[in-house]
Amino acid sequence: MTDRSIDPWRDTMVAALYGELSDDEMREFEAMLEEDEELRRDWQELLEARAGLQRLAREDEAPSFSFRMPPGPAREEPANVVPLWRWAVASAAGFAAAASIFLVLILAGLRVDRTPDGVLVRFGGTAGEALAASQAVDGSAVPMGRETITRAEFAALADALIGATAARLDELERRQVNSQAEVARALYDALAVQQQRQYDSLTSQIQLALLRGGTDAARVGQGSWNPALEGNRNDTQ
Amino acid sequence: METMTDTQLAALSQQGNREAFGVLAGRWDGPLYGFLRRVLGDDELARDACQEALLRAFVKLPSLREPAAFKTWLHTIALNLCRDRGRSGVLRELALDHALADEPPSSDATPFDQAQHDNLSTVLHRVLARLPIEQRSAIVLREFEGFTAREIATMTGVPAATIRSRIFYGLKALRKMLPEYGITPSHLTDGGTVQ
Repeated sequence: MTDRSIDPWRDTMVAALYGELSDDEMREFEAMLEEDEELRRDWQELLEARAGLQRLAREDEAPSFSFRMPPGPAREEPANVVPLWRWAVASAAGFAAAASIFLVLILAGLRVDRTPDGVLVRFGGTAGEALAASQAVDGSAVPMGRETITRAEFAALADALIGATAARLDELERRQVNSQAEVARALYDALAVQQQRQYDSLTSQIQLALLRGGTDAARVGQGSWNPALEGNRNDTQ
Repeated sequence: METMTDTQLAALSQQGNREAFGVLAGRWDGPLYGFLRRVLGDDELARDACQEALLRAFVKLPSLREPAAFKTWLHTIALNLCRDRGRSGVLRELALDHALADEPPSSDATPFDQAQHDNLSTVLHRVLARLPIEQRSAIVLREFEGFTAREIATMTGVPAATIRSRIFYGLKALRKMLPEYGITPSHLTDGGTVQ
């Protein structure tokens, strides 16, 4: 119903109303207006309607509005948000890597044996051979078949292994804490937005109720006058 | 950043710069609210729609191919929201409320009623709100936002001739309704008030 077609002159008329015609087209349109009374009447109506809109544009004072930016990183910092599945995969990968290293060491012949003097770590050979070799050598070096490792190196390796494991555990814990913090922050932000909307809605309902209450009071009272309306009243006089 | 153009700010926002979008939104929230208020005919609806339109713009900005077309793109988002609300029936209910509240003043009208009817801007708002939403949005986009019929056609997906037809019949209908509220052409041109 709102999309009825219009004849070419009415189409031109709308273009003319907003200054979209060239000089030649405008002259042609004005000549047509001179000849056609109905066209002239439509033109006059459009001019008057537009005058009303222009006045509205001049006088209308819209209440202000300010956009509320959504809190927290919404899009630009996705790297800080570690999904749970990624954390699980990373943990599994860490354990898999550790298990692989252990398996490689076993296949390479790593052996840990108890001896009367303590624990013997070595690659290949039997405990008897290693023990005999260790007894034949004086000093801190402990021969283990063809491979030897000093006590200091063993201690350093152990410290390094413990340090690496601790660092890995710290890293996993930090990621988990970050992930939980992100979830908590998102929940908090969503709650804050929801609360603000409820507050806005409630405020508008109260204002509407007050306005309606004022209308009813004016109707009942007849003689009572709301000073807030004085400005509007003055406009009419 | 305040001195940057919309195009520059839109381009920065596309790269995830929240501050740039904040400046851009601050530049457009007022005008967009005015546009939505005229199309929807209700302050509260316009407020919600404006917030939603700018949020959608923030989320969808990376998909904007030409940052220079930000204004048109933003208004298209807002226009689509108006259509959604039109389909949901919210606007029909609102139009009914306005129609009930907008009957011409009777002889025993209270001062409040009279004041309400005597405010020309209010009356013109009401008259505009009574137009079908297609005509209203076309008129508001052309008259208040300064878009050409061709640009509105691109935004709405209909031919430019259809947009001019909507404007023509919308303005005719608007002019026809004015006398119902006691508004004559002289009120519109000489700054007079409604008698």
